[in-house]
Amino acid sequence: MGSARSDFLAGFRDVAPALPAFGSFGIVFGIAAVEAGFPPVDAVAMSTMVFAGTVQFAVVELWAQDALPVVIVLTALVVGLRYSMYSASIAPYFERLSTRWRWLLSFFLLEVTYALTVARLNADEAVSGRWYYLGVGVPLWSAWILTTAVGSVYAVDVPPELGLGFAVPLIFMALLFSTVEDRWTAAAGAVAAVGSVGFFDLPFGLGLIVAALVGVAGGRIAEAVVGR
Amino acid sequence: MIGPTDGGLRWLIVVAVTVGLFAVRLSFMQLFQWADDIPDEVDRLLRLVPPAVLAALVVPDVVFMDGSLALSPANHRLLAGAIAVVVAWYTEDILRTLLVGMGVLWILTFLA
Repeated sequence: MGSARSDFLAGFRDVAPALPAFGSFGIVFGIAAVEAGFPPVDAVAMSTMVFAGTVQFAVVELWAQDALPVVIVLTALVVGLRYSMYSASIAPYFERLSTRWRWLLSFFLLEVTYALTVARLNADEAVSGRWYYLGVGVPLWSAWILTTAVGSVYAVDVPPELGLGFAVPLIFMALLFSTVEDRWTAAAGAVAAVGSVGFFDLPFGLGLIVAALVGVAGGRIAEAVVGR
Repeated sequence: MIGPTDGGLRWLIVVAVTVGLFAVRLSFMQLFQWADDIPDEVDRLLRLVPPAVLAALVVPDVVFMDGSLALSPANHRLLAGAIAVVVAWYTEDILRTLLVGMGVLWILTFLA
């Protein structure tokens, strides 16, 4: 049985290779936030509290489009809904922990913390899941805050001709293909893609959330009609 | 939006998203204390959310330029995006997609 400390360090070692990519994502976010009208302090506060890249990008993008605040919040939560799936998958491993621990751990829930922890616990039962998980999550969180700060402070020095804002859709593109598992998830993505063009001009910044919901409906209908 | 309440509004949004997202992350970790499984229908719908959300985030950034649909070579993001899609499809790797997509965009911007 590893000690809390050695399990934490094991998590840190496993997540270390992912830190550069994660950090560049944070820098891009810091720049995008400032360009959208978020002062560096607000950008860093958001990274500290929200700690979810896709959700934060959606917030600043909608803010830049003058979307209605309530639409921004709702869209952000729909974008973040995928975290509930990680929550469900990891729940059995943390079933016996106290409520206080579960609340603490859920803050750090990301695709990476979830995937690494589940893989490690399945391979090695002697590891304490919570300390390993924190060993993955805390460095990611620190790197996220730090790189957001760097990106937002130096955003003014980035020449606009570089078109760095394009990094955002590129990152999401790579994530997108890793979430397409079968015909129905592909259909949901395709319908949402078409919808995002069709609904682009909806008022109050509703385009994104409407396109996403239409995509989900499209995928579900395809599954119901074709899949049986 | 212009006005002195902008900062307060930003903070209100950040706090609301923080609380809401925390609830989403905690959701099943807490619910499974009382129930055993996700209802089938909920599970089906949840699996469809990520591709739908991500597609809706990506596509407008690539095909729109200055607020209108731009399906012409003058929109450099279109070609860069098309090539990056192929990389994303085959590698599913963030860093490689990022490097290829930005690389093509810079070639088009600075050499064309």
